[in-house]
Amino acid sequence: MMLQPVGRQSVSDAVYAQLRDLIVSDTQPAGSTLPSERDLAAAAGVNRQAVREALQRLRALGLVDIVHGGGVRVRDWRASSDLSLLPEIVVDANGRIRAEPALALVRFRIAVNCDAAREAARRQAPGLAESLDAAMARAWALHNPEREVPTIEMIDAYEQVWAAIIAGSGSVAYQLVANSLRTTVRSYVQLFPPMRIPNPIPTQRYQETVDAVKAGDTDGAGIAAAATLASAVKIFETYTGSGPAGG
Amino acid sequence: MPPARPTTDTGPQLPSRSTRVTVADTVHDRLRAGILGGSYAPGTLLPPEHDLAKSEGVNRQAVREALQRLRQVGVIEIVHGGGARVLDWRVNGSLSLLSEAMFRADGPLDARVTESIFRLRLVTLVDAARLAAEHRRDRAVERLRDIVTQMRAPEANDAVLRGTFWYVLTAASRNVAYRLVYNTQVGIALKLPDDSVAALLQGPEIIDAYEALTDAIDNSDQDAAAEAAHKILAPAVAVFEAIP
Repeated sequence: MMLQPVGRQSVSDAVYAQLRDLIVSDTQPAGSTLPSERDLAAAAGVNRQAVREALQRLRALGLVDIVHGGGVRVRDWRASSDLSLLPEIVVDANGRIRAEPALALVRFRIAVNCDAAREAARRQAPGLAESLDAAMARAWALHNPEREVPTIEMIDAYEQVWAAIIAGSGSVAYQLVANSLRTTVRSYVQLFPPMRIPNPIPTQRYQETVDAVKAGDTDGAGIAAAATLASAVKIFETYTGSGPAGG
Repeated sequence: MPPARPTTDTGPQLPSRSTRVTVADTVHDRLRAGILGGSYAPGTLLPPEHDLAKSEGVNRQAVREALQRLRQVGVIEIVHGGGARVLDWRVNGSLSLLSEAMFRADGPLDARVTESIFRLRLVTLVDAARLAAEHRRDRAVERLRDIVTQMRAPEANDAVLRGTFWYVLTAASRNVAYRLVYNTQVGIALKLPDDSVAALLQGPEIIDAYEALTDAIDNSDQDAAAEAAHKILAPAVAVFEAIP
């Protein structure tokens, strides 16, 4: 059996994730004060340094204010945090997907990826066609119409297609969005097995998007990208049992 | 599903960082600026912890904390043996780098990066306008109407009212990602140099578009809402697009 060393950082990460979940689920509401560093350390069974690092990370994300004297006040994160919080609120400390932010994120991603496809089609950057073809070749190699649910390898292959499109858009902002959401998107694979949705992300749709981008068809690329991602929305609506409103 | 709480309805807040700046913050900011500015190239190793502590004049704990945060935002990786290797921030960096990436190492605004940020704002807030129309609520429409009326007053504070308008609209979209986009763009706007802010100013005729947007939301007309939102937000992208 191979064990990974448990670093000091993992301890602090674990404390961070628990506190983060309490705040973004409103269990620890805006305006309330967290227990002292010492009490948190005792409750979590960790040293104070780990708690301190976790609190600094919460602060950097706009979730808490550390006031003079060491008190930690919970902020109204919907009004005080920026986009860097987004990947942090979709999956909880136990690796489970939270429905409302997950749906919000899917919608956000559609807006971004569709525009990236349009921009990539318009710009026709050097090397674009080659990187798109390489990504599609990987996706087709893994494509199996008999398989009911996509594997993590399949999701990674589709993500490579988006990565090539986003690189082709030349947008640093979209690139940072994609970097931030990479891990989150991978975690979506856990949704598929229990739902038995047949062929939820058809490779053919990706091919149509890529063809439109390569052909320089700006509108066509945007439409095809939206159609490709529309299936993702259906999956999440099934998962949450509601529309994008989230109840 | 988190309950709608009155605290979310108090109006826009600046996404300010806490006022207490720690030693680790300072080290973190300097190293991050160095990496984004290209002083530390991707693939190279940062100086060892004790060297950094010495050159920055701080203790090693502060350096360690700063390095951990650089790891979290995806600009370095901790390699075996404890060294820190610089990553290509464009490939690995997180969204928290957005506002900092706007500036080149030697100071001026990077027009391409800034254009990309305003384009992100355009496509996401246009979609937020659609959602606000889809989820039309009397309370939100009333507030938006009230803001538009205030915009028409002779001594109206345009920037504040326009900010509040988008705050209310993104809250009405009921999409938490778009609320975070709103907060991000407030932070971005605060960092823009004065000449850019001046170039982004829109005349009073844009108020008609705000009114059209409010009408569209009132009528639950998603396409009209998207069109009006586009009219308001697209000019900012064009401003930076025009800079070579």
